[in-house]
Amino acid sequence: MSAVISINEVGKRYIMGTQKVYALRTVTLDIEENEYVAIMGPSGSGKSTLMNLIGCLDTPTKGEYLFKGESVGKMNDNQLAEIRNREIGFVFQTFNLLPRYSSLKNVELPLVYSGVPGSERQRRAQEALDHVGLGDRVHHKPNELSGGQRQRVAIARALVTKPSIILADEPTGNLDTKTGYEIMALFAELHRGGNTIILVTHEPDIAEYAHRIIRLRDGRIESDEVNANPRQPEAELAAQ
Amino acid sequence: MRVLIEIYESILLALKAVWSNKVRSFLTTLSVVVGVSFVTLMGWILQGLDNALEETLSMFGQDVVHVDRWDWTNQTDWRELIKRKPLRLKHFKELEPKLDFAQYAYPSTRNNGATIKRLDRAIKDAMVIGTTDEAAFGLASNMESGRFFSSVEAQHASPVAVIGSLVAEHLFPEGAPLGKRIKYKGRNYTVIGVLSSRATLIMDFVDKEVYIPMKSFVNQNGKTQILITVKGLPHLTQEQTSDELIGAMRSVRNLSPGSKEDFSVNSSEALAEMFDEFRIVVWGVGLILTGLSFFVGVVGITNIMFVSVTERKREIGVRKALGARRRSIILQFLTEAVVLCIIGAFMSLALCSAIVYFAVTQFELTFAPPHIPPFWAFAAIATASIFGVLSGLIPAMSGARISPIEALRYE
Ligand SMILES: Nc1ncnc2c1ncn2[C@@H]1O[C@H](COP(=O)(O)OP(=O)(O)OP(=O)(O)O)[C@@H](O)[C@H]1O
Ligand SMILES: [Mg+2]
Repeated sequence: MSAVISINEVGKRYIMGTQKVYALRTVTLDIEENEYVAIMGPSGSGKSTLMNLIGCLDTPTKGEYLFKGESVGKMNDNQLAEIRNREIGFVFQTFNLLPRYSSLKNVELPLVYSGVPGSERQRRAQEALDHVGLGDRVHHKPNELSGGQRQRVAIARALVTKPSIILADEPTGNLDTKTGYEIMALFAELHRGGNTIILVTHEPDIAEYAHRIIRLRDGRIESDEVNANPRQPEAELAAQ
Repeated sequence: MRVLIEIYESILLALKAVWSNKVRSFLTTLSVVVGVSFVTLMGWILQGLDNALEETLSMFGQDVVHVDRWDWTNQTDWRELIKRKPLRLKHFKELEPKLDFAQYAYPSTRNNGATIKRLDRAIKDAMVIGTTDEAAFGLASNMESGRFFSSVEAQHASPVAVIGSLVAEHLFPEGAPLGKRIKYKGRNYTVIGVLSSRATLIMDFVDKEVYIPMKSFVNQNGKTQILITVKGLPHLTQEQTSDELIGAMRSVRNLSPGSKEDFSVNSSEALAEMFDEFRIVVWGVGLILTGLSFFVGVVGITNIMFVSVTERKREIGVRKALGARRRSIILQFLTEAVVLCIIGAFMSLALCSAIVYFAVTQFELTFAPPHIPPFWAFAAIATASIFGVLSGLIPAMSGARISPIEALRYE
């Protein structure tokens, strides 16, 4: 089975005035379907930069990135938008829900951009919200929801297009510990359902839920290990 | 399909965005309201001008010129006009031998609001016109029945009358008025002709005319001022006829070469020309005002849209992360600007309708339509849309160009 994500000697350099900032120096990495990967590392080590590259929000300044065998570096804006829309689901630390929209409308949004008609869109958004346990909060606006609920809406939005991978940058960063575990339980379930999950965290006990842990330092991979004994969030929640 | 869905969603979103910033949207639209109001009111004034022109031209009659003490085009100073000598019947008598360039010519004088009686019936707002038999030429195609009075009848001040269709209807509901008598200021006249209806929407008074011989008119009303109507020979243009007539009249009045005329020769062409000039002025002023307010408006809305784009930078990032293309982002902000402007257009149309209705009812502008002409209402909405596209395009494109990571990092 070939890798969904194949990153070969990829780097990202920003130019700030006369200065070059190496956000990512050289990274080589393959991620297979249905993997559950955590990316760790100190602040400024390039975690978000790597995530943005994987998520096709940005293109590398060196090396080659193959997404499902296709070179991302050669794609134009529209093709990148298309990949983000169909293949990738983003979950952000700050949720990034649109404040004027209800939960349902927020979740419908990616489907608007793939041209799914209204009734079909609503049905699928409702389904995704049911999936994350928020089927009864469809008409709430983000400011009428708790932090954990907002992150669930964001996860529903990431799921609704049935993407191949879910990218989460510090998804528990703005949540209290217990709510964070609930979100991790949701990820575990999605993973068991066949999703590929890549999450960024600097909290070791969150990374422990993943099946593979990649550590970055100064824009390079410091270590890339299999987590032989991942934590089981459901069991922990039940035990509490 | 995808584009239609996006347009639909953009309109919903734009309405939401406009609604959630009510005060700001309202202030922004004001510039659109001003610009569109100029367009609409200009259209209304032009329509009114056309109506007034049509009304006045039809009063002139076809292809004839009129010598009068008054200048019908308002181009002569009123102080000069009131100093002019009145135009009298004797002037026409002196003029007549010199009219070798004319097909026909006749003097006329009128008594507006005259009461005409017949048995126990009366019409109170008739218009009695004293003239000669040559007036028949101008009315030849309008004789419904009977005939116009002859030169002999005119010479002898015969008590005969040719009546308009409304007068006939009022006084002779049973029909057949020919040979019957009507009474004007205590004197009996025999009806010898009836005119067909010539009324237009604005000119219903022409059907209330009653033509009697000039001499009969003078006998009853005394010395009056007259109007001289002249039709030039077929090969002459209106302008040539006017020039000939001015020459003839100058010699009647004994004017020395180079001195100003103390009469006016009014032609429908001169009037139409004056209207055209006036129309150009209205267009010019309207376009300048519209252009100015548009410029100010476009700059204003562009500014607001830039603010809107910056405020929603993060939202742009989220949308792009979820798969929005540049096109979608442009569409979204463009729709917002256009929706804003179209709302402004509707506000402006409501405002202008009120202004127009008020103006027409309060000042009795009978020639002006009491509503915005549909074409101009449509033009207003179209202009507003162009307005929206113009002012939304640059901000929308700049918003669409922001890279998703930059937008997502925006606090
Ligand atoms: N758009 C940019 N322009 C310039 N420098 C950038 C840009 N984005 C990231 N960097 C730099 O690249 C380096 C890596 O940033 P990145 O956001 O990937 O770190 P991180 O590992 O996600 O850190 P944190 O844990 O704080 O989120 C940092 O030094 C940062 O300043
Ligand atoms: Mg980061």
